[in-house]
Amino acid sequence: MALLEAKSLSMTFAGGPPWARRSIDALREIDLNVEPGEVIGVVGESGSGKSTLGNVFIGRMNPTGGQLLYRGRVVDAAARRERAGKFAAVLQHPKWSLNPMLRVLDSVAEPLKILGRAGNRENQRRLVGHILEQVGLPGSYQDRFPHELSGGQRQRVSIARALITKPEFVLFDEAVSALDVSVQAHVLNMIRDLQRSSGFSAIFISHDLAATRYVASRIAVLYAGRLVEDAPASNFYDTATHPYSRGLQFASGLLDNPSNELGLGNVILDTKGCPLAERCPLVQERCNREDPVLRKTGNARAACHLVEAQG
Amino acid sequence: MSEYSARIDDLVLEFGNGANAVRALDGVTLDVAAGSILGIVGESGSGKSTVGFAMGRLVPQGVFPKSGRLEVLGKQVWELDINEMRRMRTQDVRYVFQDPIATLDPTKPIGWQVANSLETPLGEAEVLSALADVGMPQPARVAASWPHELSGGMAQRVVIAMALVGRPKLIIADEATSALDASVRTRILELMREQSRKRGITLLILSHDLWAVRMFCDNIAVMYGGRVVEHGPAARVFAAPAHPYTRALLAATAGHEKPGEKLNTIPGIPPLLRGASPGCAFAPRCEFAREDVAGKQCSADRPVLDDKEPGWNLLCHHWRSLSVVNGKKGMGEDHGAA
Amino acid sequence: MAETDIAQAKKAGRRKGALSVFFARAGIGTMIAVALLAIMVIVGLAEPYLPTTAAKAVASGPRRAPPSTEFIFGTDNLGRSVFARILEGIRLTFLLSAVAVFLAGVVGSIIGMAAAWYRGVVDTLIARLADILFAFPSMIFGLIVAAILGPGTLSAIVAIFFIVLPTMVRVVRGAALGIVGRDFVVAATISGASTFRILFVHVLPNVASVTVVQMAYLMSIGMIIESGLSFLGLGVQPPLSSLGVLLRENSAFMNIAPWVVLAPGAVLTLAILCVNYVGDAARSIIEPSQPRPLE
Repeated sequence: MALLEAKSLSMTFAGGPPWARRSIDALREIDLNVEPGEVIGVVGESGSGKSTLGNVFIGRMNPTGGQLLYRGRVVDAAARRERAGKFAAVLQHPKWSLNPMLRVLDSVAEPLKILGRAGNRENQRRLVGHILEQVGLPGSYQDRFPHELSGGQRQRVSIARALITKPEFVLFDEAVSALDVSVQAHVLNMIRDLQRSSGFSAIFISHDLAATRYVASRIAVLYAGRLVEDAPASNFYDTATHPYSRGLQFASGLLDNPSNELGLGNVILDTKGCPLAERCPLVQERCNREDPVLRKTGNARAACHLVEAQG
Repeated sequence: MSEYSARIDDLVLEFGNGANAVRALDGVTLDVAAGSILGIVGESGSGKSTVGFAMGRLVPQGVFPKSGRLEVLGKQVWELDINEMRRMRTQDVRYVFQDPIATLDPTKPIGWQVANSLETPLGEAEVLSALADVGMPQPARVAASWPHELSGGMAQRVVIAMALVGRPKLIIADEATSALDASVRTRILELMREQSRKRGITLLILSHDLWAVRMFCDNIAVMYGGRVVEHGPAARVFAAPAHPYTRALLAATAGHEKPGEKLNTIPGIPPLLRGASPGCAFAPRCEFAREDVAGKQCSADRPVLDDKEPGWNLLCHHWRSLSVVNGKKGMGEDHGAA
Repeated sequence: MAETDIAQAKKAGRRKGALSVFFARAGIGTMIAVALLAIMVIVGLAEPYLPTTAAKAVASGPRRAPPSTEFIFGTDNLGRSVFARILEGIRLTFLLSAVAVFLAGVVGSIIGMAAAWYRGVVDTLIARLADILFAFPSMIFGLIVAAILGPGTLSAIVAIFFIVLPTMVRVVRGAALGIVGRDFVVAATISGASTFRILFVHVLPNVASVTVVQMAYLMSIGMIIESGLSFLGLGVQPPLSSLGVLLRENSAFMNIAPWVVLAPGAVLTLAILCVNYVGDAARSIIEPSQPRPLE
């Protein structure tokens, strides 16, 4: 059974002043499963809905349409309590990922304290020291304050805090984006190694396709709140299926052929056609009339008329 | 006009004083050819932004170079009086920063801001043509809109338009595309390259984005520990980096690995210099660091610039003995026996 | 468990040495203000045990005697030592506003944090209530409180409490709003932390410095209000003497014995000045320092 299962998940935000309310579709009918032990990379440009997707999966937001199932059950208040400590998150800003007034020990031990499993001080020190070693920090760092750590070290501590309860599911929301290249490589390697050794599932959200490809087993590409491609990460070492995915590959320097470059232009949401139509290098007459549905093609799913034509 | 837009010779710059002094630049030597596009890459603390700021003397009052010289557009930057400096900043040397929305005044329409970006206001026709030059499809509409109504990419185009109206000779883009989506980033870089070529503007791209530098720059300067450790033609440096740090940096960047391959990492963290680095600043993290190479100690002797070939130089005691393999580690055969 | 964290957090604040930073950056004026304030607080606390207490009795000396070596600020209309009564006045004026401001600090912090955390209706409601309180002229508010509770020490405390509370709520709410959206709070929420834990482990220690500085600042306002109310006869009641009481009782003799008014007036001015000065200095030190301007 899938650990988490999004069924036709939609999220609509109300925007604008009270006298001129507009609704914004942040997510539209997303079907996406997270299997146990799987790392799903979520990529897309800003406004694609990837952060909203993460927020819904981690339980910070309730979807306005569709369902999110946790082990086959709708997530309600009881399910939330049941999964306390089984979910964790590593977020973007190294500067603010840790409470500046707490020592590393207290920050990392906090999820255990919330569960009431922290035990006495010696026990906490032992557990925290152990997990710090797993993220490549000496145990003596327990007594440090965040301002005594570098950005990369703080992100490591955040990861230690996320993993100390041995969670089933971890959300990485732009977790390495603010780090320098050499530090980023360390942290990416570490996330990959820890995932393999402890087997948690994860969603790895990033605007950086190269980094995502490196840690994820599958990649979900979002555009304008829709899932346009869902494929094994290995496909992204080659040429991806959907024209938008290829456009991202080109823009990240993972493909050299400029024929993949996406045009400028707006997201078209008020027509019946494909939202990418105005920017797609392979646009056809049909794309302006008809919105493509997500269809299985080989080992991937993609929402594109051209893919459907190929079968 | 000389053939160089900027010449930096062994520039040392420190901020703060006493025990809190931080040495931001520890002897930077760099020549920027007029009309070229130079990418400066480096991690945080490497000093790349400081180099950019120093060119327009954008440093706190009372900060002067400890030693060395900085010449921009044929003038010694620290010898200009304040009025000459201001003139240089409004016309000849322009900056494009990371956050375009923050650069624009939220209380004024775009057209007004473009018109007033110089000392003498521009006419409407000039404003519209400036906006058209940076690829705005409807210049009149953009001119009438407010900063908050623009997307990040559009706003960055406006900032570039404002930089271009003064007919600058040098544009310094400090992480100008880091906050933008990948596809928009490509467009902005294309725009800057096009304008630079068309108008003969020297373009300095300060970025941590190695790919952008590889694609859009003629030359690359790699900074580490407040010094330029390697400077050469971008395509060739990327193909066969000579400095151990450049190699390590490329090998650590996701995007070049094969499926299942592990990223190489650089052990340790970059230094925070309080004074002059005694030897090579990279030595503690360098897998090739030696205590005796032709009578030089990596940790105790400061490397001096060595020409690999014309237009390509680097700071390393023993780059000659390292084999040239794209981004991979390995010692040359000739050194293997030593 | 949350309490141990709070203790840890407090230790953290001390460890970073907010005080040592303060003294390292303080100028000479601030140092003098701190020293004067320290003297006044110590005198205020020690006043009941000082040998001067006896001289507060009626007919301790001649009536309206000018300043001399025995009575350095002279004596009042009933022959009491003005100096001895000023010491008691310092004690009461400080104590009253300190109690009221401390209570307002505690209550204001909780309300401010709650407003920042719950947002929405709770926030709007709290903001409007604070606005209403804020809109009352403080003396009129004091009159209303005295009318309800009767004149006395209690109504002075209550009046000061409500007058400084809205400021406190606003300041804490603003600071807390900057904290509740931070990644560490989000991460704690995802781990299942209770609202109590989030507010007292994560938010409070991070707004504490702002809160304390604001309390120091509000002390001066508290002292002005206390003196004002006592001057009108609505606050501290004779024979107890706050600085305001001394001003009122003695104002009638200003022409014949100016020292009886000038001395408590000067002490009150000095005290408020010092508190204000120290509060200001603390605030400018705690707020992010402005970078030196470019040329």
